[in-house]
Amino acid sequence: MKLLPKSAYHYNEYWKSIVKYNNWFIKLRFIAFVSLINFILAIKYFFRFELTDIQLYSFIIVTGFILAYNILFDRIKDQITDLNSKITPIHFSLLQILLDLFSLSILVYFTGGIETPLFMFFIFHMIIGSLILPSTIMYFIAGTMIIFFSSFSLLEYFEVIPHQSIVGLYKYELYNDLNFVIGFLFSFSFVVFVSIFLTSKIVHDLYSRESQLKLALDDLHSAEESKQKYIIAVVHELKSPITAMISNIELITGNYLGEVPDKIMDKALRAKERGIDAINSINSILHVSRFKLLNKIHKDEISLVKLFQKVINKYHDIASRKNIEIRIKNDDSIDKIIADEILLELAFSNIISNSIKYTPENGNIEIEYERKNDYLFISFSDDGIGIPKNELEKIFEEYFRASNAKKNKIEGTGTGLNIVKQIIDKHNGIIEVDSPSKLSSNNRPGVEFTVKLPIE
Amino acid sequence: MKLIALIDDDPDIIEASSLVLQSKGYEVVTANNPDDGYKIIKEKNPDLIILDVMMDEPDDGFFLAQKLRREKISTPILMYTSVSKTIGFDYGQSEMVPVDDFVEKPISPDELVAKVTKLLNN
Repeated sequence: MKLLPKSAYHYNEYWKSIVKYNNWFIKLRFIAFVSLINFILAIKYFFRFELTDIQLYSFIIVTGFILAYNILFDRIKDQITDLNSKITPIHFSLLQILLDLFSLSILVYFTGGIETPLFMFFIFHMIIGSLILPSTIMYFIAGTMIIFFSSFSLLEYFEVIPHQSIVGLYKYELYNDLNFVIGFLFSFSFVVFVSIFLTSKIVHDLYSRESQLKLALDDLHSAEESKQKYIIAVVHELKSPITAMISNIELITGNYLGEVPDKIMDKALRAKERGIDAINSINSILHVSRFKLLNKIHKDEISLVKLFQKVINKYHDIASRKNIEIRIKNDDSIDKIIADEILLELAFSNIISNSIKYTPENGNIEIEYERKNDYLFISFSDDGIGIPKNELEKIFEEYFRASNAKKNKIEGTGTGLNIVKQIIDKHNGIIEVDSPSKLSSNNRPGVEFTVKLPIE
Repeated sequence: MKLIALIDDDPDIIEASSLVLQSKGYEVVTANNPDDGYKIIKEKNPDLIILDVMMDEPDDGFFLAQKLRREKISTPILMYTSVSKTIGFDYGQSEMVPVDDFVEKPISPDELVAKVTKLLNN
């Protein structure tokens, strides 16, 4: 028999929620056990109802039985999580519901059958069952349960089996009133079936909505994938002619074509350098596209001193043109970390180049890093134009640009910090931004980025 | 004189690499597609093969390398590649990629000469 609702096929979230529900049921049942003990004590000592011996013993036995199987379930629950094994979490749910209904039926019988207030718990179980099991199975369970319940009530009415009421609960006995019995059974059955119908419908709608969302998300992922593959292909096309160009220039700079005058050599070296810059940018784009495509990073042991030196060297010329000083402060507490060197270089380069871009002449940029417990803390501060407080939250969103950046007519695409955040996230790190920074002065609030990376 | 077979579809790369290798005293034969490359390897029996990973198809170079190894041709192979560790593709040595070393494009003359010398001396 297929236990799985149609809407849940191939749907991992569904299985996760079943396992969660199962664990939750076990917790609830421990609470039910404690409530039952209190119920027995309350009946006996507080309300002063008269319990017959058989009622008292049956309560105690059922309560003990519930505790026993719940302890067993609690022990085995961690083994029943595999949806491919013979006993799946859904079988486990079914078993729990059946045992609960069985225990409840005994309690119902000994607390007055049709007169007991405990019958409401039947409806409660039907709703919980409908959250997990397919509605056909729930209708079947409910039908069986109603037939049993009706048969017992009628057998009690015809006095074939003895009626067990709690003396003192009701003024008059009701089990021997046929109008009451029929009226009660009719409305009870109706409520049970309607509860199952409504709950199953809501659950079904919920799961199919989630499945649709998941499909939409998959579409989105595949679109992103095509985009990244396209970028990789295009960038490769660009790379080939540039590598050929550099190879030719290197024939000149390596004197393979004979000696060349210094003036020509200077220009050839400069051309080679710019060509290599282009190749480095292309490699960064390829690296990022690959990162976005596979969502994987390439971990190596890297040296922070070397990494920051590389980043600073890259921006030394542009920074000195604006007379911006880039300082680095560290306390030797850490140097080596495990990370994706190229992605981190890209992330830090992005932050530094932003700082240079948004810091006016004669400014300061300070990189500070230190180890605190198992984390590396890096702060990047500047005394540039800063970011308005209400926009700080948004700066990691793709294509977002701060209003003052646009007002000052500073060029940018708004993609940088989004990829920085993705890179840091992928390293299980956290990046935060604040403005003003610790370097702030009059009219120069500046920005401070703080990166927290776990040291593996 | 050691003979090197250079197989790449980019004439500029062929020319530049040939010049560098010839200046170091190597003899170079070239081909600009995998089929011709296979022919010159069979005919001339070179001491070293330099093979570009991507020609018409992204893995032409790999296929040729695998074909040679299947035919028990154990001439060292140096592979030119434009995707490598720098951008996160790590080939490593394996059955899949039966080559002896890689050079990433753009090829620096010094690195090329160093790797060629090393492979020929092994």
